[in-house]
Amino acid sequence: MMTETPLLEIQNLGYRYGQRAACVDISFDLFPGEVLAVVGESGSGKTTLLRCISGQLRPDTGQVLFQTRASETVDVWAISESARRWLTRTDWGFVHQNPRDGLRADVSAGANIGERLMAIGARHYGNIREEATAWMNKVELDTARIDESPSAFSGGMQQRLQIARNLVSRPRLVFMDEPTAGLDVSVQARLLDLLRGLACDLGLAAVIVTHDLAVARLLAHRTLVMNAGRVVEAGLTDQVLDDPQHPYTQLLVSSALPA
Amino acid sequence: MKNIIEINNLSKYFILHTQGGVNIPVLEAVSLAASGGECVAIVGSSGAGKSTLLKCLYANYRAQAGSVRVRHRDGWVDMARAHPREILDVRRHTMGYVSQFLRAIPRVPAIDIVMAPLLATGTEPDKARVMAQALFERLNIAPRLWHLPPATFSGGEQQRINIARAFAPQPAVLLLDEPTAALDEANRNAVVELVREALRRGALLVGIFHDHAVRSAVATRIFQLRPAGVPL
Ligand SMILES: Nc1ncnc2c1ncn2[C@@H]1O[C@H](COP(=O)(O)OP(=O)(O)OP(=O)(O)O)[C@@H](O)[C@H]1O
Ligand SMILES: Nc1ncnc2c1ncn2[C@@H]1O[C@H](COP(=O)(O)OP(=O)(O)OP(=O)(O)O)[C@@H](O)[C@H]1O
Ligand SMILES: [Mg+2]
Ligand SMILES: [Mg+2]
Repeated sequence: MMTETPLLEIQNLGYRYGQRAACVDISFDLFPGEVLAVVGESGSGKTTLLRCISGQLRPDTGQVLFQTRASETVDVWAISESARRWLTRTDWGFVHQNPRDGLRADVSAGANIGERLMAIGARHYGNIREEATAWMNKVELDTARIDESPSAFSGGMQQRLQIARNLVSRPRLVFMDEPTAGLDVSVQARLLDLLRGLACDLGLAAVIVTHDLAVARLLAHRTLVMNAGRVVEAGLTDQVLDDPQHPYTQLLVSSALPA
Repeated sequence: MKNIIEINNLSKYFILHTQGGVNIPVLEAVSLAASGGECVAIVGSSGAGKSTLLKCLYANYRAQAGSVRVRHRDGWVDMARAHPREILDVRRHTMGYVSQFLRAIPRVPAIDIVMAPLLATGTEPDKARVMAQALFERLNIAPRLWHLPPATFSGGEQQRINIARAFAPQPAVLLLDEPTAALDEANRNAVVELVREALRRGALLVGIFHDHAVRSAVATRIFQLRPAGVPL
């Protein structure tokens, strides 16, 4: 088990917006079934890092290596645009902070889920609808509302719909940017519980960006702490939170409410 | 019997960067080896580093120097240096930990919390449920609580859920941080019985027991910790 190869390997990744370095020399790996949290204050480069490793923003330096279902290692930024797009539809999922960025407003909830299946070749309408219904159930959405537009859903419901849309195609790796931000505390707890269960049951690997240390504590095996574009500390989540070594991590932990 | 843990020259201090970089030495060159069937009681004054020692064993705290070796899957794992995935594997299969306080997971019922470590090591759900219920009965957890999340439970009830969760998978090493602190006599006795049973099946227990009666009922050896910097 300890000799498994990583699913994702980030090597010396760097990205700058003009003069501003947003990610500096970042390296880490992620193994199948592992959940990694990226924490750090606003502006520390978390979203930029997530976009670079999920095929949305080409890094200036470094490599993003991914092991496909066929056990081939691909360099995400060396393959063709269409091969990259295929990865984002099949092996990967991306849950945006704002559900509106991850959902289509002009089609029904059911179609939002079914769309990912069609993108990977599903054609049989009955089967697609059945799968969509099953996933609405899994994320605790009322299946009677399958034909409604997502705009008729509350924020927490939209977030659950976005998760269903992403997971229906059985990705092996999911990227999430602040999946619980902007939700009521009680809605957050329910969503976190759902994510914890799904990650466990499906053996999903995930990279979760969050500023909430309690989210990292609950969901992540390992945690990376970012400060000013750099990873300043990384390790087992409970170790990083209970025995932080870097001054910045100590500040972050001591300023947070008990997690 | 052969050793299950070997702690060698373990040193642990805290540097508090938010407090001007003050250095708090806690453990200095601590060594301890122990084998299955032993119950080692760690004693020492408040602040001597008893909980810190258990946390270093569980790799919840990092060690600055020395090694903390645990026998795992026919080999040794140094918890002070192992990769996080390896540490999690040790925790899943070899080592249980009863912290002083239960960190309740929102919305997860007590029975699921206790079943989780069993399911994670491949026990069938039906069997895991029966084992969890048997532990609840021994620890006098009222059946009306089994399907509720422990967030609203009393301190003593939460502690017993914590104990049930750690004992359920029958790990080779059990770390106990004041497991009976919030319990009445009947429940203290139930815990003493669980500890003795674990010893009989050959487990190693390392614990902090403030309660003298409990300590003398379970400990096979006393390990004295002196505050760092205080000569013998
Ligand atoms: N499109 C852009 N153009 C210029 N600078 C940008 C752009 N996007 C982000 N930045 C800058 O890059 C840095 C990192 O931004 P990023 O969005 O990655 O931070 P973050 O850690 O996700 O913050 P938050 O927690 O607030 O979402 C910030 O200083 C930000 O101002
Ligand atoms: N995460 C931490 N950060 C900073 N200092 C810590 C941390 N954990 C423990 N300490 C310090 O280490 C010392 C030993 O603490 P520890 O909890 O191990 O003592 P103890 O022997 O278990 O005491 P008690 O009997 O009161 O529980 C104390 O001075 C404590 O403040
Ligand atoms: Mg961001
Ligand atoms: Mg203590």
